[in-house]
Amino acid sequence: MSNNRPDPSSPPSTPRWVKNLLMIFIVLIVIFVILHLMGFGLGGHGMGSHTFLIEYGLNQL
Amino acid sequence: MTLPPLLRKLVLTAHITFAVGWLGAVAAFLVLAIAGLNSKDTQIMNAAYLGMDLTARFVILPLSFAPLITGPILSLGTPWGLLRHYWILVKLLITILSTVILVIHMQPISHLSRLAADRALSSADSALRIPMVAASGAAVVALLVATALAVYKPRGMTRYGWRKQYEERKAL
Repeated sequence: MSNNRPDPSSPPSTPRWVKNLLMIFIVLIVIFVILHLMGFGLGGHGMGSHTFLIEYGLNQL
Repeated sequence: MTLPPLLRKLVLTAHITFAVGWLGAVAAFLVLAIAGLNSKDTQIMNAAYLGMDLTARFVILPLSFAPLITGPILSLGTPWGLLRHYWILVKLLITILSTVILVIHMQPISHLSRLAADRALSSADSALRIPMVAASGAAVVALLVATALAVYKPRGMTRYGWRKQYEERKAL
């Protein structure tokens, strides 16, 4: 099946810009989570100091 | 249900005001977060965190919830629909996610503000101060993307939108 000839009776595929945005979003989330878990970018205090922020975050949920 | 033209313009004006105001307020918050993190002057540092708390509580928080009300009203009240086009769906997700992240960070912001009111902040408090810069920086980028989506309205219909359109055409 060719993408150049869209079939009007079948749903359109997800646009490329949505896929790209989703990929960027997933990469950013993964980097954010890894950095937080490793304690990087948090003043070099590691996991111990970061649990403080996590506790505050969890209190809100 | 389609909104009458006058009401649609009123809701659109409110939506643009809230969304762009939110972006501006978060940008101001980011500047304060950077000033609070980098300043050597303890008075500037502490004033920045007090200002961040006030800005977050009385400007950013209300402005983050307002587009969640005006946006769906606007899209459901026009032929665009809420779930028919990817750009509207992505904007909605960005708004929801940014609001959730903001709500999660509200208590640490208040805590920093209370600390700043009590004593001079030190590098030991960086565990809370650095994420403020990161989160508000990410929020500025996300809200800029949402604004660009609203202006450019890139093509792309969801499966739901396509099905609705197909049914409507079939009914004619």
